[in-house]
Amino acid sequence: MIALQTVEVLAAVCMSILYALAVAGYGWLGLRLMVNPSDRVVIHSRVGRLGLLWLSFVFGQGILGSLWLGVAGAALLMPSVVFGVCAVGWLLFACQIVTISQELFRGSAPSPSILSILFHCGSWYSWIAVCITAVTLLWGFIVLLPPDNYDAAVWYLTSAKLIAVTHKIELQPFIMPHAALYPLQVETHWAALFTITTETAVTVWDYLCAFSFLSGIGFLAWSLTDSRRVALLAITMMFTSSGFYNLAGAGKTDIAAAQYGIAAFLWLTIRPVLGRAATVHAGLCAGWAMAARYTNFILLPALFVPIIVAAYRSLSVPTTRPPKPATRFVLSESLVLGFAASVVLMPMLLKNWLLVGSPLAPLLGDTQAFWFYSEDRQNITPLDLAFYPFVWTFKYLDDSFGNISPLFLGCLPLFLLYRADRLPRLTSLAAVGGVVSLLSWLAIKPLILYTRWLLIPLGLLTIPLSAGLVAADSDRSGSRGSRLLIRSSVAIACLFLLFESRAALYGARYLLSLDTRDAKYASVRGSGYDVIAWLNANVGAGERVVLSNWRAYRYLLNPDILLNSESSQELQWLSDNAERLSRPEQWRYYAQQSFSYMIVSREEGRFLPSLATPELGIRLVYAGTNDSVLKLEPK
Amino acid sequence: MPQTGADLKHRTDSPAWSRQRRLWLALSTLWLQVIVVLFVIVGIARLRTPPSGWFRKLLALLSIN
Repeated sequence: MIALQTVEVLAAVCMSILYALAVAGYGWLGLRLMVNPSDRVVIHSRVGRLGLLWLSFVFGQGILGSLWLGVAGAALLMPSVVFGVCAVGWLLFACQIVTISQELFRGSAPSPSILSILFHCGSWYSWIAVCITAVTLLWGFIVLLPPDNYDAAVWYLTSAKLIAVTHKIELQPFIMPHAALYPLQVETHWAALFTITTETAVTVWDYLCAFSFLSGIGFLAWSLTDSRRVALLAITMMFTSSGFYNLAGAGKTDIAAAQYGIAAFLWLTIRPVLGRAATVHAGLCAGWAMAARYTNFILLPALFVPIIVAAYRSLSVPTTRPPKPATRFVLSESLVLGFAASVVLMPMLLKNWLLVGSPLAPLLGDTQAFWFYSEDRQNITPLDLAFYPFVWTFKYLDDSFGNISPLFLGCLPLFLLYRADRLPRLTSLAAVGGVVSLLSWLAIKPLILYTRWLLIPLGLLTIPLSAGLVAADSDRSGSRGSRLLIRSSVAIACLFLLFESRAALYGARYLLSLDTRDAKYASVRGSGYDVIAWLNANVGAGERVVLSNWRAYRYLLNPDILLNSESSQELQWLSDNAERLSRPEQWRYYAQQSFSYMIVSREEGRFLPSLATPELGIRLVYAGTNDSVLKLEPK
Repeated sequence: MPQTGADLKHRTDSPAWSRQRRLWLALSTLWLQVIVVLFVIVGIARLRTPPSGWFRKLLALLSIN
C-alpha cells in the first residue's frame, strides 16, 4: 500500500512536468509565428535542437505568465481554465514533437544536444559532467521537501497561493510588504499550479526553471565558443554557487526571472544572422525579466553591448549597399528592443495602477499610503566594496541566501592570462556584457550585495571565466602540476557541491512518507509553526486575527485566516493614526472591527493581559515558543 | 618605436616569454586552488552542526525507524 503523501508528491511531480510541456508547446507556437522557417534553421544550427526547445520553453513561460496575469486580473484563474489552457499547450507540444520527428525522418543533419555537451567532452570533463548530473538528480529530491525558505514562506508562496484560492489578483493586505504589488511574472505560474495541484508542483517547477537557467548558460556558452567544455564548466561554475543552489526550487522568483535575461542575450548573439526578429525576441525576454524582478533592469545596459558590436561589425563588412551609420543602427535597434520590452512589462505596471493607482508601487508612489515600502537593505560596508569579489565569495551576507562559486574569483587570473587566446576572445561579448551589467548595479546600489539579484551578470561572466579555465587546461606548454591544480580545484568544488546536496536524503524520506510536513515545519526555527498550527485548529469561520507585521510563515496559515485579517481600509486607518494611538487604543480599535485574536511576542503575552480595561478583556489563550496568542473580549 | 606583429610574435616565441608565462600559469593555478580550498574550509566551518554531530545525525537518519 503506497502512502497518501507519496502519491501526492509523485502526482505533483508529474503535474509539474506536464505543465512544463504545455509551456514549451506555447513557446514553440510563439516561435513558429514570429520566426520564419529559414531563421529557425539558423537558430537550430547555432544552438541545436535542444537549444531551440529551451528557447521555446523560456518564450512559453513569458507568454503564459502574461496570459495568467490577464486571467487572474479578470478573476478567472479557475482549475477548469488552467486545465483548458494546459490542454491546448499539450496539443501544441505534441505537434512540436511530430514536426521534430518528421525532420529526423527526412534525414536532416543531427545536431549536438545538451547531453552531448555534457558527456562528450573528453575523460576529465566527462567526470565533471557525471558529477553535475548526479547533483542535479539529488536536488531533484531536495525540492520535494516542503518549502522552508523564509522569504518564500512569508511572501512569495503566500501571494501565489492566495491568488489561486481567490482566483484573482488583489492587493492582498495581509502580506507586508505587499507582494501582489511586486512584478508577478513568475508567481503567476505558481498561482496556476496551486490552482490545479499542490505545493510540491510549485517547487518542482521552480527546480525545472533553475535547470533551464543552467541549460541557458550552457547554450549561450556553446553558441559563442562552439566548445562543449566551456559550456560544461560555465554550468559547473554557476551550480557551485551557493547563491544559486540555495534558491533552486526554494520558491523564490530570482532564478526563473534570470532565465529570461540569458535568453535575451542569446537572441542578440544570433542577431547578426537572424536580423531584427532576434532583437524583438531579445526585447520581449528583457521585458519579461523585468516583469519578474525589477532589479533585472541591469540587463538592459548589457544588451547594448551586442547591438553596438553588431553596428561596428556591419560597417567593416563590405556590401553593395552603403552601410547604415552606426549611431542610427544602434538607435533603431534600441528602439525596437525597448518597445518589445515595454509591451510585456506594461501589463505588470497596469496591474499596480489598477490596484493602488501607482504603477511602480510599493517602491514609488504615495509615501503616506500603508502599502508604501521603503527599507534600507544595505548589507556590505564601504570597506567591503574595496574587496568586492572576496566579500562575495567568502563573507556571510545577511539575507543573501548564498555566495558565489570560488571558481569565479579563482579563474579570474587564468582568464586574464589567456585573454588573447581563441576561446576567451570568442567570449568577449559575454564578458563585457556581464561586467557592464554588474557595473550598472554598482553604480546604483553599491552597498547592497545579494547574489540572487545579480544572477544574470553572473551567468554571463561564467562563460569567459570558463573559457580561460579551458584555455589553461589545454595549454600544452603548461606543466603537469598546473593542470593537476586546475582539475583538482574544479573537482574539489564539485565534491563540495555534492556534500551540500546531502539534504536529498531528507527529500527521499519525505517522498517515502517517513517524514511528515508537520514535523518538518515544527523543526524550522522562526517559522512560528506552533502558533500557526494553533490558529489553524482553533480560529472559527469568520473569526478575525490581527496579523499586523507578524513575520512568521504566513504561507502555512489557513487562507480564510489571511483573508479575514486586516483590510486595506483598516491598515490605512492604523497607518494614518499610528502616532497618536496608544496600544490599548489600538486594541480597542481592533475589537471594534470584530477582531478576536492578536499575536504578540511571548514576553508581551505574559504581561499584556494585565492591561485589560473594563471595556476590553484580554486573555492569553496560547503561548508558543516565540509568540503568543491573545483573545480580545469586548465587554 | 611601435611594435609590429612580427616583433610581438618573436617576443612571445622567446624562451624568456615562455618561462614567464609558465610562471604566471603556475601562480594562477595555485591561486585557484587556494581560493577553492579556503571556500570549502569556510563552508564547513559555517555548518550549523559540527561534522561529528552531522555524522551522528546521518547515522541516525540511515537507520530508518
